[in-house]
Amino acid sequence: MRLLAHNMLACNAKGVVNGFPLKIVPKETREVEVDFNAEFLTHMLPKMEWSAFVNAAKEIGLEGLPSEIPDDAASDEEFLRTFHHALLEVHVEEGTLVCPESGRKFPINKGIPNMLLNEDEV
Amino acid sequence: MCGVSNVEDLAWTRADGGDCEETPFWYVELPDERTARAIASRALLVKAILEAWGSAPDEGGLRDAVAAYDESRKTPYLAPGTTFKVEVEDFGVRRGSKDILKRVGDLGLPFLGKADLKNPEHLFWSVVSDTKETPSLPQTPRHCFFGRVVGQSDRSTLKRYDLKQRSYLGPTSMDAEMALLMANFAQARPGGVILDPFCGTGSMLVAAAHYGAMTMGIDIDIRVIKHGKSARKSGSKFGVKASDGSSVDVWTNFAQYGLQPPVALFVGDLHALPTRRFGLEGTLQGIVADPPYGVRAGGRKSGGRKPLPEDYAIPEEMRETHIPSTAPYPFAEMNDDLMELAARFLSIGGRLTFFLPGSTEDAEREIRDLPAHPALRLRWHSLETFNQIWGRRLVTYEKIHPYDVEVARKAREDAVAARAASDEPDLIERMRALVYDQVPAEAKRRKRYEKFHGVPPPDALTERASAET
Repeated sequence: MRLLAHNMLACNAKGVVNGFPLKIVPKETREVEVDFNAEFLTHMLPKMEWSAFVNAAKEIGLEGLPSEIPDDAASDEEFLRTFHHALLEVHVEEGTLVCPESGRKFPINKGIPNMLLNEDEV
Repeated sequence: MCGVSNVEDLAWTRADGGDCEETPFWYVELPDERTARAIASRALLVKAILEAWGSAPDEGGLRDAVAAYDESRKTPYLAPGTTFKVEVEDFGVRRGSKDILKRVGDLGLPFLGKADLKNPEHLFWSVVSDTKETPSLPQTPRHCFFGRVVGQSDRSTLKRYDLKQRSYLGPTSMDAEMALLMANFAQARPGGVILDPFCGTGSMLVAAAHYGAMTMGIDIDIRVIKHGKSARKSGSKFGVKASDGSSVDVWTNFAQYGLQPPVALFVGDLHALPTRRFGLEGTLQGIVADPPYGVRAGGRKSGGRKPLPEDYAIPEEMRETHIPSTAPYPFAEMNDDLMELAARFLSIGGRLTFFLPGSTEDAEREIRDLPAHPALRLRWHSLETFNQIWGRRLVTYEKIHPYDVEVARKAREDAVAARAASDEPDLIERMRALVYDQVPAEAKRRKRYEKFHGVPPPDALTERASAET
């Protein structure tokens, strides 16, 4: 799981009002280089929940992201590179996602979070 | 990709002057050669795009037509110092002359360049289309064409992604050609994100990634996307397991082709999407899906097999290892969810392309009743037949309006209400009736009985007697 996915995922179990952002408890992470695509990054930027993204990055040991999106983000290559790396190049291979409201745990194995709810949670 | 995004707005006209929809030759006006080449490079069902120098019902007419074609468009390609090749690309012709030299001579064109059969600068097609002697082909009027090839499609892509060579396959993996076509319908391209909400072994995402798109996949079956299966010994015809005990999974399929792996892959349920409820509108460029309607076995969604009591809870000590049970996922509900997904997550202009079951006989009603959503516009639909009776229909929608929660909620309520008010069987029920036609099933039962007992079943005799009276 990369932070791009994390920024979209939430716990929508029955009774949970705000299941976002999920806390990441990483056990194993891995870095894989991804081609830089500025068009993709500027498209994704406004969709990001930025503070959740910055926090998640810290949870997996990534520092250096600004606390706010810079005004000239689209033309700030250095910022885009940092964003690119945190968004796409770091994979949480093994670990757990935890719902901030209910504490419900979602396991991550082989890089794939299991978000399936039990029959008493839907 | 210049011009390609508007390719559906182009006007196509039959090139042979006939009225047969299945003619393989079409005229289309394109702004420039670059556009033609761009289209040809992505097209899988178009063999080549040519600059038509002339066409006519017979050879004499063709000669006149080519002679009348704009001189300045011809001269550079016939000039001394250039190399060229003329290929014969006839259609339906059984006995006609394939003598290239004679054909070129008959055209009366001044070819001043040098013929080069291996690596010509300019490639020409000489085409005679004549289906009279081949009744199995759609019948089109006899016609001759001559033109310069501007772009040709690269069918080697199909071979490269042939499922026979795929590391990790499931019983419903989409075949390479269809998966690539769907990626084209969804306009997969670099910078965009394509989602498959029933991704399985990822065959459609592999196709989208081939065109440079970022991919995302969801599947409800943990066994399919996470566990993978044992790797098979390479080259083994009988699926012998690899001796090193290695395994293959969805990731392997991307690694095999050197493609970017999906940016997100998770076990989840389209019906209870595990995504945040706000701010994701317009994230996706395309959605591709081969929903598990299963005319044989329906799809699954999360929830109990039976309705659960309000206060039911899985005991705390069991939760860690509990495997969630799933409930049947009704056909109509799955469609509603898919349309809602597209209405919400696609960017404006983004595409949703997916399969529905379809029949030849009831096509008119099926097309009339295709799913609809106020934020989406139906762009294309086409039926692929498996046999004379049924097949699957590929439909493509474009998102045309921003997502509006209220509008979407009302659209869904209306769809549910309309279905509740209708006493007609839905599409999937009609398909089941078609596929499991009672007659062959009954015939099989009788045959089995007769083979075992040596006499026809008693009820069959009664029926025959009553038929005679």
